[in-house]
Amino acid sequence: MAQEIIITIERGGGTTFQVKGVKGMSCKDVTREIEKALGKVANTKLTAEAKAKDNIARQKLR
Amino acid sequence: MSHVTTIDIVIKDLDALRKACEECGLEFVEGQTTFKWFGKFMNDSPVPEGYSPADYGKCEHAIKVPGNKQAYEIGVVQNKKTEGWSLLFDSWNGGYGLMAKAGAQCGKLTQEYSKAVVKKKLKPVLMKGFKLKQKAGENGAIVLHLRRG
Repeated sequence: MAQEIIITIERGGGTTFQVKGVKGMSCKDVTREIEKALGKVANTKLTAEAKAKDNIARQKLR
Repeated sequence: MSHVTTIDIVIKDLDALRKACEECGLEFVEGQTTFKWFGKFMNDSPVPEGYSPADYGKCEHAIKVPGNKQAYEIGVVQNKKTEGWSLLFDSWNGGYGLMAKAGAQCGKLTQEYSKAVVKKKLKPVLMKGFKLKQKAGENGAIVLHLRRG
């Protein structure tokens, strides 16, 4: 499965990260250093894919 | 796991700001302590939070349009709250050529600044075998797409 990081930089510098399928490290590890260097995190959301995986993990724990 | 993060930009890295100036065709002038503007506040443009019109004209560094003596300049000012830097400028009449280079409200300059910071911080990720492609996004956005596998 392809591993992707998509970084969108808007006019004005506002930056959005999408991390998909990155294995061997948390996706937040990938972006944390960049986020810290850029400024203040305004908003973080799990993608639908991540939410689905999170739900599966929770079900396995029960 | 995947996530989407949105960042509010704080200018902290003057080397990245210098690089952004080059990308926009502007010149970063280190140690220039005044910047050119109309000289009198006319209440026709927003004053950044934490500043007053009395702060206009004074700066730690400046950014200018090379070869355009008429153009206003950007003041790079130590931000009193964020430990970063703020950009002060007079955008009246496009700053006589300044905004054509820096973008409306310096949007292109801050975009290029973010790109320079991101590219610097991406070096360890690129060493892990990711390939980087730059594309144009919607509404003038820059999209950096990294892919492995």
